[in-house]
Amino acid sequence: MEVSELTKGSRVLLEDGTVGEVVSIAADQKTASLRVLEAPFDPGKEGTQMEVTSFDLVAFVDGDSYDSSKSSAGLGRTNISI
Amino acid sequence: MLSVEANDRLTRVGPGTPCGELMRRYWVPFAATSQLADDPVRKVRLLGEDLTLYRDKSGAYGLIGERCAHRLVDMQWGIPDEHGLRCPYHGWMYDESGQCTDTPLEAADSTFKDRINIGGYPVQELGGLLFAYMGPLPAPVLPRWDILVWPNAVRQIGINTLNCNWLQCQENTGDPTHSVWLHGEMFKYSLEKSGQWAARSEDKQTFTVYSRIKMGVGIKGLYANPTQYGMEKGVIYAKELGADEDRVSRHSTVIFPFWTQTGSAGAPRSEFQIRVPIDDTHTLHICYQCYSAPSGVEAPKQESIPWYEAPMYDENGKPILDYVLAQDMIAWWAQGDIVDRSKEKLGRTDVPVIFLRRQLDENIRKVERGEDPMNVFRNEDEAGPILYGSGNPPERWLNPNWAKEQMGGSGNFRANYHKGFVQDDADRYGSAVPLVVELHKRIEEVRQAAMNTGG
Repeated sequence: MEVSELTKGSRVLLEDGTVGEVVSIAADQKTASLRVLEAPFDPGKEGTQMEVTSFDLVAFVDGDSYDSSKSSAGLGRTNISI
Repeated sequence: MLSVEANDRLTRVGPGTPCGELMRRYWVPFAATSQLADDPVRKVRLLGEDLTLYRDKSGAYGLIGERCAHRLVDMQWGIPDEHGLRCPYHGWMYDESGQCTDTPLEAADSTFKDRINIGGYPVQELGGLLFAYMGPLPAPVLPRWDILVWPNAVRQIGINTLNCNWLQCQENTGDPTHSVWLHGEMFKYSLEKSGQWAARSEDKQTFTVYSRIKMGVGIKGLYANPTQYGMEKGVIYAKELGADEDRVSRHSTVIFPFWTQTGSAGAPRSEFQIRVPIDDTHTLHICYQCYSAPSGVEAPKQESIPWYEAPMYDENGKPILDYVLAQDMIAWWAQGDIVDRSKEKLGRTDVPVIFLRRQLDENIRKVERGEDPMNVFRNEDEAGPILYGSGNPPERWLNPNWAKEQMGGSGNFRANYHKGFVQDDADRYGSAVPLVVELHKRIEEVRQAAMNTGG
């Protein structure tokens, strides 16, 4: 999942379980700023802003559902031996 | 990646720990009743506590403290009495609450025994499994999860003790794509390495390996959703990425906190895998296998539900890797005693794993607030007579026209153990397999008869 796929206002899941809303995206599209909505393992982070890179992004969040297929960069590769 | 503190919070299960307190809100399965067939007394370690399980002469079960209060003899060597368990050393007897009820060598009118209690936890039997409740009273209702009570079925119970923390076993359930490699490529590699590949190819058994490898083609992403009893998750495939078609492949149901279910109730083969914490670094892995006779078929009768232990290592101490559960068990063990999640790097295929951790933490917080967590039921209406883990009754298997609607036959290899497909699964070690083979034959006959009559 790439920062370039994000739009302002979209909600994303990070690998540590944090859910954030995109506040802004850097002009070079390498980082984005999130407002932390939920940080189950570090509740003190909720309401704060944090910067993320593509390395941190796992999936888009829709309500209670997480879905990594909504990234335009599909996984779709494996070393198939059949 | 989690912090070290968060990892401890989700994994450690001893008394007073956040996750240990969560686990103590559930009826926890810890043995098969058939494990007491040869010896009615067993040592048990559960949630970090050492205990003694017994069945007394009246047939009642007790789960009491590890040692006699007198001279601290290990009660696993105790003698079952009519109502309780006696210490073998001086005959002190304890009831199922751990209360001492007799000290035969003390004075007849002594009240000494009334002040002695070694502790005990309530035990219930359901579907051939024994469940303990180790939390604050009153105990909740024991949920009647579907295949524990499903009628007209053959059952067997596989039990293994694993040298690793329970959560890495359960996280496997949130990780559907591991099948591509662990149960596909690695399976193929291990069969080739052990010289079994050619033999299995001859009778076409290897197609299951290929089908798992093919699961890796065309993955667009994974999803995870909350359900009434836990989590639903799956893989989304896209034709543009090489899949046969755009489709969603739903994977096994997760029943919170440590159950997963493959195959729905009523299917020719369904299973609960239950990951019970023995302590922080050991897991009791229970495979509760149920082979149901769909509508119109009669299952062979069983006197009791047998248990078995599937071997993990061969005579040279090397891992056995030619069946699916062994591959999983070795992978969990190979992650270490407790996975150090502060050092991992999760990706887009780990969405359900992240979901599972969040759900676990959310329910730990409920307990910390004094609330009941998910799947704690306080009245019978909520928990029975059958509780469908998926949330949906299996209409397909209950349908009286089942055989007619199965025109063309079932392509699921787990409905075809009579054709040799049992060798992919741990089930092959269970003593109920001949009955299952007979059942699957009967299912095919009924389906075939429906096809011959033109549906």
